[in-house]
Amino acid sequence: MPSLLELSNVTASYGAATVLHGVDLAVEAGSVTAILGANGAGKTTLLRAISRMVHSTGQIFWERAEISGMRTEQVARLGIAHVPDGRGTFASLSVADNLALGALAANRSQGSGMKELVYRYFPKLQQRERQQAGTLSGGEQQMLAIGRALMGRPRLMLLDEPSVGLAPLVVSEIFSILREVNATLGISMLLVEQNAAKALALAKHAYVIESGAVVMSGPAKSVAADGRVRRAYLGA
Amino acid sequence: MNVDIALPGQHRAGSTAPASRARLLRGAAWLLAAAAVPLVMQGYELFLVTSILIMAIALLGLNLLAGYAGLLSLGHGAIFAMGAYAAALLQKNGAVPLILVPVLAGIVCLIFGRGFAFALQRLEGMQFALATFALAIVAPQLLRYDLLQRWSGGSQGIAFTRGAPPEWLMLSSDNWLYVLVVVHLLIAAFVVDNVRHGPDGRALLALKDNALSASAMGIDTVAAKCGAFELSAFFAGIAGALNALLVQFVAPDSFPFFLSITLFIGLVVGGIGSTYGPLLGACFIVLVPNFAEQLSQAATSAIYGGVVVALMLAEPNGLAGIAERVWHLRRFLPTSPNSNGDQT
Amino acid sequence: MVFILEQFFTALSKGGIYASLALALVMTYKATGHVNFAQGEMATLSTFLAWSLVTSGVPYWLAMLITVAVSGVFGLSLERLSVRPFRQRSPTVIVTVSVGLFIALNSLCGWIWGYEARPFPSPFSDAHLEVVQGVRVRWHAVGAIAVSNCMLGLMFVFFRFSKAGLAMRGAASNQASSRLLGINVDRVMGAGWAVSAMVGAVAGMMMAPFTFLDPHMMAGPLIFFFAAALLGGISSPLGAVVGGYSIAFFELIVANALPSGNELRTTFALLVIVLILLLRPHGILGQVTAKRV
Repeated sequence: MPSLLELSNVTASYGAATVLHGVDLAVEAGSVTAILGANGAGKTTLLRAISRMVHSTGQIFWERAEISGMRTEQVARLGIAHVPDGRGTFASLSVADNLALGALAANRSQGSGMKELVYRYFPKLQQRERQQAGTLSGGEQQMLAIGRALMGRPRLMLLDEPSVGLAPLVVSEIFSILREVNATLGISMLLVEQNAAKALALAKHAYVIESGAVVMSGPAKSVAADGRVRRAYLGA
Repeated sequence: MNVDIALPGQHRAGSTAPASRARLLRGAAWLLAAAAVPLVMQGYELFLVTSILIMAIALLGLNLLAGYAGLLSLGHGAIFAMGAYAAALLQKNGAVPLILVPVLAGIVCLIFGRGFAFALQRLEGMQFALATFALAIVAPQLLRYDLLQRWSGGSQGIAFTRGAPPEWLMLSSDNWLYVLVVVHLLIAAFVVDNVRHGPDGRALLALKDNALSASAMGIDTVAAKCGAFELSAFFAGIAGALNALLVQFVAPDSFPFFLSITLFIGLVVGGIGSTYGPLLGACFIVLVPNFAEQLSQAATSAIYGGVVVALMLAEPNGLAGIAERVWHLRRFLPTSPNSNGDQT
Repeated sequence: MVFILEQFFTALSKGGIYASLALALVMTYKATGHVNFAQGEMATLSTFLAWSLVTSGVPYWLAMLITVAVSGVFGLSLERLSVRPFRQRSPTVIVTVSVGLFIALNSLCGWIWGYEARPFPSPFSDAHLEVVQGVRVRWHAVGAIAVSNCMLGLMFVFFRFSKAGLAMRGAASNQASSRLLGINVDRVMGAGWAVSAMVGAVAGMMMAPFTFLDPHMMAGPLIFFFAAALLGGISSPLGAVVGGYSIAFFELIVANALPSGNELRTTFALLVIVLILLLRPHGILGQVTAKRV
């Protein structure tokens, strides 16, 4: 299967501290790929490198074309929707405006009808349409962030720890929606998560990152069955 | 808080003897140079040099405030005016001896500075600059205010004669004022130097870097900021007083909003936080208008604006920064002992 | 009573102008996160351009159109040349550049057009309109009220309903997230300055017939529209409008209620600024931004 996104020997540093060491990674079109790792392993930096929010060396291919020379907004316009850690909510704007911003840069033909879809997935957002986004609960803001990413009908979603700080019930709800989005809309996902169980249940492929390097990769089921992974990340 | 780490440009706590001897030598050298001036200059030239030294006093305070407390004041023209009017009122009836006038005027401004800084203690950066900006705009208006006319002389201002020098000195009035200015400048420079290299200086630097951490470390940030501001007000007041004594006239039109901008320009062009910045900046703001006015009325402002923006692009440390860079280039001179490229 | 009503209309027209200039200030603040000390001088420069056009025979409304267009381009260039290069620098440098710009623009006006005050033409008749029995208001004041409010209305529609307006609000709210959504934040910032320059141009043209035109035209109003922007909330466009009218009416009260009140107006504006900064820095309608340590 062709790779939608491919990273080759990507290294990223913050000043003198190297955070990613020569990461190789591929995201298969139409699938969900999980990235597991502890705090500080470099998972967020990896997503930021793809979005060009952080400088990195090495190569990043999107549909076989090199994109590491692009600016963040150009990468976004390729159809890569990055849902950042912390949700990146436009706190002073309304829920409706937040969603509208998601559709702003997308092609009109791509984005039509997405708002209804987003409201179908997240009825709470429709209820709070006029509300200031900063006043939403953590779970609602996460839904808003995902909804905003969906508005542009992206080809690939980069999700940075969508479960963090959320109650288990909310996490389940969000993950089941992600599953549906992937299945019905065919949107590929690169999912960074600390909640390994949920991530491995959703994903087709998985990578494990430790100290900025890939230490394991393979089909999600195999990774989930691996003894070291079970002990370190699944509490088994 | 006794941090024995030498910060850039600081001496260690408990200066060694050679360091303070060097400072004394430097002071003596400047004193000699200053003494030589009246021997070679009179009249208008002396007036210019006196003006430069007066402005340097004001800029010394501003430099400390900006370079060490990190506060930009756009309103010191108002304080300068306050010092000037205080001097005019003190001298008008001849009751107060000339020698005491600048310091007394300075104290008036120090008190104002303390109040102003205390009131605005919570403001930082841009907000503080805004508040002082507003002060600068208001000051000329207040000076024209009807109800204050009895003291301020209204739009006409106050004309007066400064006290004569003591006869035994056998100095002309102009030279006597020059001597007073030099003395005040040296004292001001000494005070500022002490603050910069002492524990207060370190406290201010910590405050400038990260106010929250500084206060968490036990530094009284409010006292430090207020202290820096009132010292700068003290010096601005002295400078204003000396200036009033120089021209023997004060009026609202002498202290427009643009004066505060001029002082700000002098501060920035000289080089914020540098030792010689105030002197270099003072030369700039006195000499440029002197020559630029001959070109056109707009020339002074145009030069100010252009130079300031260019400096921010190329050399934010102002003329002092440029001077330092030139000084370092001497390494490459063939006769210099360091010319084999020793790294500093 | 008649006097009060006439003053009321003066305050209304002043309020509209203050609101417009305050809005221009708020827009540049939202675009770049810093106060543009040169906002007034930008408007003065635009007004001088309009003056040149009108006095060389261009019909007034066409001159306004051209001035607004040129001002937009000018605002764009200013952002590109004097703001963007300094974006990552310390607040000290940014304030310095802003003040430097203030001086430079002021001197540019003086250099090109000279310092003599000159009358500025108004498209409205010089006569007075009798609104109610005995209450006479200059037609120009009425016109200024109409034009200012039209423009403010247009701005509201622009921000609320247009894609560009939404992009500006998004960039002002969260730059990083805007980039992640494909918005070219640099371009949006430039657009913010462009629109703000255009608004300032119109405000200047409405003000000049009252104050006469010279390079220091904005020296008086400056502190008032700064106070207005701060009062309403430096990050709130609606606040700018509320602040503008509020300051105009407070000014009216101060001028009439206090002895020698007319001369105290500026001091009053200073007090407003200081009090706002001390008690409620984000103004009436502004957003509180928590500082991350």
